[in-house]
Amino acid sequence: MFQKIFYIIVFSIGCAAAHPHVFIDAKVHMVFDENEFVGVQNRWEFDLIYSQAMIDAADKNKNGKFESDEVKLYETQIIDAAKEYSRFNYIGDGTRFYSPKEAKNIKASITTEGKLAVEFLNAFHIPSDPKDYTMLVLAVTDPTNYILITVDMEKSEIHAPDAMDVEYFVDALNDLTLFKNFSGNVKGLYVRYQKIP
Amino acid sequence: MFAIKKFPNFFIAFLLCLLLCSVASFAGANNKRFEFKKAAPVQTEAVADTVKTHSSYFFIGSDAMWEWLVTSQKNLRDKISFQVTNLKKGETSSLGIFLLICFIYGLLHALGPGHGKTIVVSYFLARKGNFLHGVGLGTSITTIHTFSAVALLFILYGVANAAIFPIFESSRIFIEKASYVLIILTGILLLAIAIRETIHEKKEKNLTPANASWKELFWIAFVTGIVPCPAVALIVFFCLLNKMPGIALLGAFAICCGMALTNTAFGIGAILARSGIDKGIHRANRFEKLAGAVNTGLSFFCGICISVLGIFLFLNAR
Repeated sequence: MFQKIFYIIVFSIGCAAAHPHVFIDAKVHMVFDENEFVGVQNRWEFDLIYSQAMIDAADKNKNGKFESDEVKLYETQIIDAAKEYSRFNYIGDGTRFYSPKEAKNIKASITTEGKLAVEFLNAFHIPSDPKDYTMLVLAVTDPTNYILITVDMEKSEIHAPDAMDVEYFVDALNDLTLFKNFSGNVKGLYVRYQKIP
Repeated sequence: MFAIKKFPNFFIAFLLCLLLCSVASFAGANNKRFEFKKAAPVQTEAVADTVKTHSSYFFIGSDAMWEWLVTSQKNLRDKISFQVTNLKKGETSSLGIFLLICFIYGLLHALGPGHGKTIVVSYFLARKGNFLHGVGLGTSITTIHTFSAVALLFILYGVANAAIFPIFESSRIFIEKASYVLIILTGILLLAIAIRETIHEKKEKNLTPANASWKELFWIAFVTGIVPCPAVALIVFFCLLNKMPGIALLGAFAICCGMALTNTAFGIGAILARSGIDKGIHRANRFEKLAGAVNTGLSFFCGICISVLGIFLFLNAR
């Protein structure tokens, strides 16, 4: 009987996961230069209901475009607000996560469907090890489940110059305890890179 | 067609250039599986950057079930915005579908945290309640939860008229955290009452379990429900932006009904479980002596559960 009660309570807490309030369709690309992994280029397209609320808040002159002062709201409310959550771009090497540095090239636009699209580069600046490949995994998720981020990692691109040798594949995160807090549905983009001598 | 037949070489050269350009942008990258080796453990604090990964993800069920739950909510939200757009165009026949979708959305959405299920279940395991109590608590929590969002949004919309959602978000976070502190205190209060009753029972040798009271029910409904629901707020605001305040209120009411049904189902489930425990104890005569201990144990356990849940929600609030 107590076991049943315990299951009732645990189940009711367990359902806590199903709780997103904001929905994002994301596209992510990993960007490298000649010396380092620069960061993750993000394009976040919000659901129509959240989009309209945020467009209304930022587009003060109602011209359907976002001037630099109007984009500032998204920088503070959306991008910087998620900095402690790595801006939902978790970069790990199997033993630790890297903190994101600055967010660059922030742009906002309205799609033909009236949705808000925010683009930015989430910079990490992780240099290439001259002796061996540097290995990283990218996972895109909001672990608090306030935002549901849908991303097809298979469609993610790697942007790297000739001087950088990069190999990558997409797989589950099951084998990495570092990512144990994330849902089993979250896929990882595994990369290894080395500067060509 | 065009001049491809006249200039085949030019066309092939153009295609080759296009191919080379696209390859150049991915020049250094190969889609290739390799053995992923973890980096050596970090030796110094300087490189051990930290980011928050703690999550409210704790789900009994398969990944597919979880995926279904969250994507259903996403699809329902898309359908709600579609129906509101139809209503704006004057398609009144969409009203019924809009309300039905809002109801189902509320039903599923209330499975999330901060909607009072655990509090309802814990309370009715600790206190003997009846069907009416279950409906009362389940409904009052969601009514307060929904209409606190509606009221806050209408006030902000009336004052600022626009650009209010970020203000709503920041106000909500403060109310949410305050409410979770109240939930922790409620758990402690229930625990204190359980201790007092235990002492009282020992003196009077009274083994009957404590009953639910409407006073306690309304206090619990208030502290749990006062957090404005952001999901309701977003849908109401979307309707307000489309100049449809009446539809906003109807939609909020339909979501409220859906959420009330979920919470009430959990409440009645707990009442039945509690009633089953009591009946089981009395039927098995040899356990009758333990009835008092079971009551006390449940009251303690549920008081602790409510406090722990409050702490859990407080730490995960964002």
